Amino acid sequence: MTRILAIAAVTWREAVRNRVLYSLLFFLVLLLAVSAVLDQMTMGQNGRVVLDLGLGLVHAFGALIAIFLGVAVISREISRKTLHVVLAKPVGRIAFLLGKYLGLVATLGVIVAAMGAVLTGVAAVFGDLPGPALIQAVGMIWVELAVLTAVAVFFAAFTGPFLSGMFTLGVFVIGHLTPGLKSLGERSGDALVAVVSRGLYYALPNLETFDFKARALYQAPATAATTTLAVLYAAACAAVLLAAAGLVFTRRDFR
Amino acid sequence: MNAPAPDAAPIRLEHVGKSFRQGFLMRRAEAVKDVSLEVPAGSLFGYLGHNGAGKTTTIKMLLGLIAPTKGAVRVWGRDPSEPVVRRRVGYLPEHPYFYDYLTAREFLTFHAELAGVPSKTRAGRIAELLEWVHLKGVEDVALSGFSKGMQQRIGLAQALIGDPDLVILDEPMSGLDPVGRKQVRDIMVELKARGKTVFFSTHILGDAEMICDQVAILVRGEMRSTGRLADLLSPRVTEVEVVADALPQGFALDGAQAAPNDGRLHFRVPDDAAGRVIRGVLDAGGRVVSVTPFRESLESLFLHELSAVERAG
Repeated sequence: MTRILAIAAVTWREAVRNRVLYSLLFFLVLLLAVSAVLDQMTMGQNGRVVLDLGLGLVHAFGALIAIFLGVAVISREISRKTLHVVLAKPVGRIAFLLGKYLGLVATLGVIVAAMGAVLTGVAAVFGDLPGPALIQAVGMIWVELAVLTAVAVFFAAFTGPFLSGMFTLGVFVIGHLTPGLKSLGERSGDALVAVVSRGLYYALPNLETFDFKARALYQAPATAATTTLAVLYAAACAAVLLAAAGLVFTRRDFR
Repeated sequence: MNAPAPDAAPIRLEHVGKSFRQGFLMRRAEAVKDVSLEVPAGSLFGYLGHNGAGKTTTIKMLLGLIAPTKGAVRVWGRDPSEPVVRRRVGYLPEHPYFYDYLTAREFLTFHAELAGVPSKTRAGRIAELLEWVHLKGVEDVALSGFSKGMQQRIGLAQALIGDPDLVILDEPMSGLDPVGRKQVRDIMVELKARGKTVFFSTHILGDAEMICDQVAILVRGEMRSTGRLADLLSPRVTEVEVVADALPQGFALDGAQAAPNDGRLHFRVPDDAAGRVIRGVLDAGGRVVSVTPFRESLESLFLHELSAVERAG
């Protein structure tokens, strides 16, 4: 466990010392300011535009950062061969992946919390003080990013950074469309389309499970049971993805 | 999981081979062919070969980074892919790439944690190693600001952080200036004196001849010779160089080629002809300036093995 935590701590350091991350965060703050201006131009919304746009931005930027970090951190280890000296120590390959993953999830937690704090501040200035539903929505964005990071780690375990990034982005997009895909397949009347769409629905993580943004807008927090189920679903998805990544990683030659 | 057998050989390779799929057509290329060797505990073992001979591939198999295609690799009697085996192993790669956003202290602390160095002794061990590798005073400098020589030395420090019994160094002297090379050589000799086993690859034969007690020569993935240097290299004098001056114009000796240089004649003759040359010089009224015997060198053995493989096609 000490070794996993040591790898996680180094991953955290690598992420927070990455300048690209700060550029993305700066851009986010800029866009939040724009959304505040838009809110002022909309009558009778009491900060709802800020909240709506802001949560969307936190979600989109969080996903971009998760894909960027998840792919870059693993791929760079392989391409720069920095993992050779780590794996030459008494460290298992699965422990290495777990350490990297935990470091990334912790980093994303801090980033999402920071973005959430900025959003709360802006929303409070332009409307009512947001309640627990906003905290829940931001928290579930982090949970979704944890799943997305596991997807990125899975792809990065056996492909290069470009392909891993594209595949993870694909899973992010399709993961938000799976409920629609399933019903589309059922309505199509074509057996093959129905089978394929049902296959995608079950094979890919349903990322809509973690979308609590509408609840934040209408100040209607979900029950504890709903959030617990969503978190357990995320944990199961991440566990399956990391196990698959570990299986590939342990068999791989590092030349 | 059992600990590695304490009395097993640090390294044992049994008919080890490794091939890779390469190129668009995924053709199979053999990097290492049927290599067998045993490295005794406490030895300073040189793994010699030209660039691309298969040295790094062998080393990566010793660390479990790549799996052999055939044969058995054993480190302390066990499969090196088991993490427990690597508790007693330190490794410096050929081109050390490290987390350059870390400072030297952060980097060594990280590796100390990985190697299982207890937190109580960690700071002391890091300070001791930084002094040993001549990096005292740069503890808080990021590795991105390190020169090639400093990178090599911090790499050596991370390899030694867990006080391993077996130290594997891949081309530890490559790219270093003469001072850096001597420092690394001194550290390797000191490690041997402390009872450690040092296994290092190199294509710089002079360095190996200076410090190794055992070597293995690898040519195009094939093991050509292995054993103690004293056994591999003949102690017999193969040639003698006699340098003479004050000789009459046009002086020559039958069967002894002479090369003029700086007003002197340099005779390079077989050992049994040296006496005749010296007598000939003195009889002609000349002066013998020096007599230098030449023995078989590691370089000549290596070149002999290389040409044997090339002749075989």
